[in-house]
Amino acid sequence: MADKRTMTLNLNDDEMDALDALSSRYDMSKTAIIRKALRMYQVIDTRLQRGEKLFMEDEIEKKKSELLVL
Amino acid sequence: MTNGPITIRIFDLHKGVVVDASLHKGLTEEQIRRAQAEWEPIRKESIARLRDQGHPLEELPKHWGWDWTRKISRLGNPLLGFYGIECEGKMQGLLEVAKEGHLAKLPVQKGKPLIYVKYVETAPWNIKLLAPKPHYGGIGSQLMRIAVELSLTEDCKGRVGLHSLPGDKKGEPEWFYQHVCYMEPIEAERDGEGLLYFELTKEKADEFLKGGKS
Amino acid sequence: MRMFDEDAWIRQKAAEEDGAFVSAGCIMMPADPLPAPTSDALAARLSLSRFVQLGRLKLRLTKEQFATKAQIPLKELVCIEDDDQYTPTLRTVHMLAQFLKVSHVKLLTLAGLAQAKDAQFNDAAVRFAAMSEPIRQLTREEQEAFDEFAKFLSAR
Repeated sequence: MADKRTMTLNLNDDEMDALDALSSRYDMSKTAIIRKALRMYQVIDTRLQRGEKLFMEDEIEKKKSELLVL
Repeated sequence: MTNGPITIRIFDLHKGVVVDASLHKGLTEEQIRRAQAEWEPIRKESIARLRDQGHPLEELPKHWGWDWTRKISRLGNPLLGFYGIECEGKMQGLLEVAKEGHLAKLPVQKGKPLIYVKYVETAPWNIKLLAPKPHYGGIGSQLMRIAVELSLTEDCKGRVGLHSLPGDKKGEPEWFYQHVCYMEPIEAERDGEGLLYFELTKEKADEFLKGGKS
Repeated sequence: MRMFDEDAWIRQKAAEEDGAFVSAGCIMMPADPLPAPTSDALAARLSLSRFVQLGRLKLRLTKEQFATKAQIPLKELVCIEDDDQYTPTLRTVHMLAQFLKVSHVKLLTLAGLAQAKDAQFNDAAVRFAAMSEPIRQLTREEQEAFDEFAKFLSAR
């Protein structure tokens, strides 16, 4: 794996609260949460660029709804 | 994306010694095609032989129709990880994991992210049921070790989940995950094919990496 | 702190593992997302569907009777006969091959669970699919086509 590089991230209070909440819920560091988010965004972006859409499916209700990503 | 292989250790059962093997983090299309071409005929012959010897259908390995080349289109997907253990120019084991989208189900860690093993297989010549004298030992354990270490790298604390192929007798998959990997089965989480779900807690992951309770 | 001794660990694990069959995933290993099936694959599945149906009609069995005698789930038989997109389980294909006395490897290929080794297989499947139409009673031509295809599937 390539050597890591460091960056400083400026977040507002809401964003930091959201990051704290996710970090706590998933028992993961904030850095790990951001890495996961970046990875997911990378994949979503690739598919959106191809013209695909992003859906979420409710397995129980068997319903699909479209998630819009701008 | 592939990186250069790193050296890991496996056990040569023929020579009775520990030997070097290469762990490939990320696989190429060529590696997968070659592994499939080498494994498939042996896998099928072995299972056909077992059938001819009168082994009941239910006891035959269920994965013999597997085709790893079907995964080639997913090789570049950053949400997945592909790993192979190679020795003497042949793949001895393959592993595909999902890094996202799976949360733990055991009550003690419910909802926490884990690494999900989508597919894992050891080469047919390493399986006692299929080969009278298996060649390399510990391949399954090393593959599981890779999943656990990835879980640690991803900050999932060693948590791993998977759906095992059937068989709870000694030497069969469910037995392996429970007794060699210290994973816990969850009946209620069987999948659509009825495969039993197993999960590794962070405590048991630590035990597994250390080779048991210290 | 205990240092990790990889050699000791692998010796121990190899002994514990003892040549165990290590596998996880699923039985059928679908490609995901499923690629569009090739025309050969579609023809093969249609052949399977027709072959099973004609085999049942030849034996003059209802679906329920056939499922019971072949020891396969009735639900699966219905899917195999009526939905040529349906992929049966490995076990069901084995049981069908046994019951219809054909090669299980070739039946697995028709089902899409194994790859055809050569074009001859695909050609035979396409011809059979084209010849056979699902009706209540076999015509003589269908009976002959069925017998010929069955002979092909039984050959090693």
